[in-house]
Amino acid sequence: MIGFVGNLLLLFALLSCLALMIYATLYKKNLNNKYKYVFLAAIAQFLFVLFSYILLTYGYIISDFSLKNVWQNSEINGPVIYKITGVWGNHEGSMLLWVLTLTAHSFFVVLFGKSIPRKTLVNILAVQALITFAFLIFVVITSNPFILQYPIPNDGLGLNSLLQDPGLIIHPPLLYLGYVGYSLVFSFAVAAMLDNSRNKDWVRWVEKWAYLSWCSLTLGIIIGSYWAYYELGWGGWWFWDPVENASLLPWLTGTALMHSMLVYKTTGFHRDWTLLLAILTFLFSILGTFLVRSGILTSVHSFANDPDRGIIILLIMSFFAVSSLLLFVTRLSDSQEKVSYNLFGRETFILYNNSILVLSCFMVLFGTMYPLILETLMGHKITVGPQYFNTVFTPITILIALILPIGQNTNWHGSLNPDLLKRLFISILITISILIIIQITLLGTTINLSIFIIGLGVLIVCSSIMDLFDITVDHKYGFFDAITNNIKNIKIRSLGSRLAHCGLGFLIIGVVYTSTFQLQKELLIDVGDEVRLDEFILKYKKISTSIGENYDDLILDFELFNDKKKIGDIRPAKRFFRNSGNITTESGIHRHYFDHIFINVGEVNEKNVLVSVSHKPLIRLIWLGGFMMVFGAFFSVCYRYRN
Amino acid sequence: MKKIRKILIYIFAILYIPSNLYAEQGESNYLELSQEAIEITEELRCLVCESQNVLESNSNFSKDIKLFIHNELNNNKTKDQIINQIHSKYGDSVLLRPPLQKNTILLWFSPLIIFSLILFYIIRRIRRGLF
Repeated sequence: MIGFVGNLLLLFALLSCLALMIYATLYKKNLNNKYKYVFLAAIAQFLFVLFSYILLTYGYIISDFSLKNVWQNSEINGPVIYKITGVWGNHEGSMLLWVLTLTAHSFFVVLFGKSIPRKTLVNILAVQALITFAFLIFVVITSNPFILQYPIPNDGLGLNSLLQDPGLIIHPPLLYLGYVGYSLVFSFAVAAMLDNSRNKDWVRWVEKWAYLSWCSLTLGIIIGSYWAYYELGWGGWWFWDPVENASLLPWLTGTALMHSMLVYKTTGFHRDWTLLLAILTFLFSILGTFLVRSGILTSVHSFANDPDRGIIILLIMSFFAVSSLLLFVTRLSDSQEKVSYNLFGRETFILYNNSILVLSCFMVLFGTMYPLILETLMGHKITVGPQYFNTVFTPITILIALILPIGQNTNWHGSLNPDLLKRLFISILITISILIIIQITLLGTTINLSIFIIGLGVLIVCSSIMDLFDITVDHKYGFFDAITNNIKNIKIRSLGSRLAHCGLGFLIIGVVYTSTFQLQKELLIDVGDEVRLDEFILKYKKISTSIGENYDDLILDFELFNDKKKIGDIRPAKRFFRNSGNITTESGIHRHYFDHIFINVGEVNEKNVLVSVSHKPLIRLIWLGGFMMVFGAFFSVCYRYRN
Repeated sequence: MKKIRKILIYIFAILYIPSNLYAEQGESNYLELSQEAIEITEELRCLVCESQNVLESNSNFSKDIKLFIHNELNNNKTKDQIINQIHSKYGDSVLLRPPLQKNTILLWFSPLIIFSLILFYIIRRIRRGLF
C-alpha cells in the first residue's frame, strides 16, 4: 500500500513540476492567472514530495518490509530514532530528501518572496522546477525508495552500524540544506540573466539565502568532521577524502560568493564574477553528489553507489552546466566594467580573497580528480592523500592570514591611512607578545613554520577584535573612560563578519597546533597499568560490559590524572551489534579545557588490550572556530535583515 | 547478569583471535608502535581500505605493514629506507604523499601555475584601474 501511494505521490509531484514549467513559460493569456497557477503548482509539488517523504518515514517506523528500501536499511528491533533518520542513511532516501529540500526552497520563495517582482519570481520558480524535475526523474527511475518486493521478509538487514550515531540525525540534513540552498541562488542568478537586468536587485533578494545556505553547509561540514573524528575508521576530523573534498568545493566558492556579493552590492564591481560564482557553487554541489553517488572515487563516507546512477547525475550536471554557462556568456556585461581599484580599498582585498578561494577550490578539485585522470589516461595508479593537500594548503593559509588582517581593517575605496596602520601595529604587537608566551610555555620549541602560522592565526583574531572598536583615543578622557566608550560604541554592523573571521583564526590555530604538538601512543596494556601522556597519566582500571538497545558494549575504564589529581574518567568501548554482528569502536574522549584526551580500543584478548591513546592539544578550537564562523554569518544576515 | 557478561567477554575474545601471521611470529600477539613507526604508518595508505592510512586501519594488510615496519626499525633501518622498501613493493598508490615524478609534475606544480596566472590577472586589472 505504502509503495503504491508513494509512487503515486511522486508521479503527482512530477506532474505539478511539469505544470509549473509549462505555465511559467508558455501560458501568456492572463498574467494574474499565470502567477496564481505557478504559485499553486510550486506549493503542490512541495506538498506531494513532503507527503511521499512522510509516507516513507512511516514505512520505516512500522518496519514495512514490503518496501525493499526499508528492508535493506532498517530492522524491527532498531531504535526508533535510527528508523526515522535511517531514511536518509541510504542512497534512495537521501535523494528523496534532496528533492524534498529542493521543493521546500521553492515553497519558501513563494512564501517569503513578497518583495520580488512576480515576473522574476516566476522565472526563479521555473528554473527551480527544472532542477526539481531532473532530480525527481532521477529518483523515480534509478533510485526509487518505493520499490516493492515479494515475499516479504521477517526482519530487515538493519542500518549500517557505523551510521547508528547521533551524527546521522543532523549531519546529512544540514549538508543538504546547504547544497540545495545554493540551487536557489543559482535560480536567482539565472532568472537575473534571463531578465537581462543590469540592476543589483537579485543580489539583494538572494543574499539571505546565500548566507543561510552557507551557514547550514558549514555547520554540516563541521558536525561531519566531528563525527568522523570520534568514529574510528573515518580518518580523523579531516582526511581530504573525496567526499570531504566534494563538500569543500561549494563551500569555497560559496564563501567567495558571499564576499563578492558584498562588493557588487556596495560598489557595483564584479557583476559577471558574482553571477559566475553563483552558478559554479551550485554546479559544484551537484558535482559533489555525482562523485559520491557514482562510485568513481572511493571514499569511506559514501554508503551507496552505483555507476549507472552516476551517469544520470553526470547528464543532469552537464545539462545545467552547459546551459547556464552559455546563458552566462551571452549576458556578459557589454562594456568593460569601469573599475577603479584603490590599492588599500576593501574591494581590492576582496578581490584577493576571491582569487585565493578560487585557487583553493581549483586545487581541491584537481587533487581529487588527478588520480582518476591519471589512471584513465595512463593506467598508472597514484594516491593523493592528506600530505599533498596539507603541503599545498600551507602557503594558501599563510596568504589568507596575511591578507585578512589588513583587508578587514580597510574601508571601501580606502587608502593607506594612519588609522589602518595603527590598528595593524597594535594587532601585531599583541600577536608577538602572545607568541612569546607560547614560546616560553613550550620550552625548547624554536620558531618554525608551525609557530609562524599559529602566530598568523592569532593575528587574525586580534585584528578582527581590533576592528570592532574605534581606537582613536580622545585625550580628554582617561584611559578607562576611553575603554568603556569603545565598548559602548562597538560596531555591531560588522560584529557578525568579524566573529566569523575570528573563527577562521581559531580554526587555523587549532589545526596547526594540534597537528604539530599532538602526542599519540599505541600500547598494549593490562588492568592496573599506567600510561604517561604529556602531563597526564592514564590508569587502566577494569573491563566491563553493558547492554544497549540493539548492541552490547565492551567498556574499558580509564581514570585520568593530572598532577596526581584525578580529573575524569574515560570509557572507550567496542560496540557489538547483535543483528548484523558488526563491531564498531566507540572512542573515549575527555575534554580538558581546549584539549582532548582520546582513547581508542584496538584489539582485545584475555590478557591485554591494544589501545591507541593521544593527547590533542587545542583541538577543540577547530570546531569552536567553525561554530563561530557559522554564528557570525548567521548574526550578520539577521542584523542586515532586521535593518 | 554475571553470566551474560562472561559470555560477552568470551565472544570478544573469540572475535579477536589473532591472524595466522602473528601466531607464526611466536612473539607478542599485538604490536606496540614506537613514535617513529607511527610517523611512517601515517604516510602509507591501507591498500585494501577505502582511503584510510595504515595507522588507523585494522585490516590484515595494515597489520602486516605495521609488523614489517616494526621489524625493520629493529634492524636499524631509517624512516626513508623503510618507506622506499614499501614503495618499491606496492607501487605509487601506497604513498599518501604522491612522489614527484614525470606524471605528477602537473599535480605538484599546477597550484603554482594557476597562482601566477591569477596574480598576473590581478596586477593587470588593478593597474588598469589605477592608471
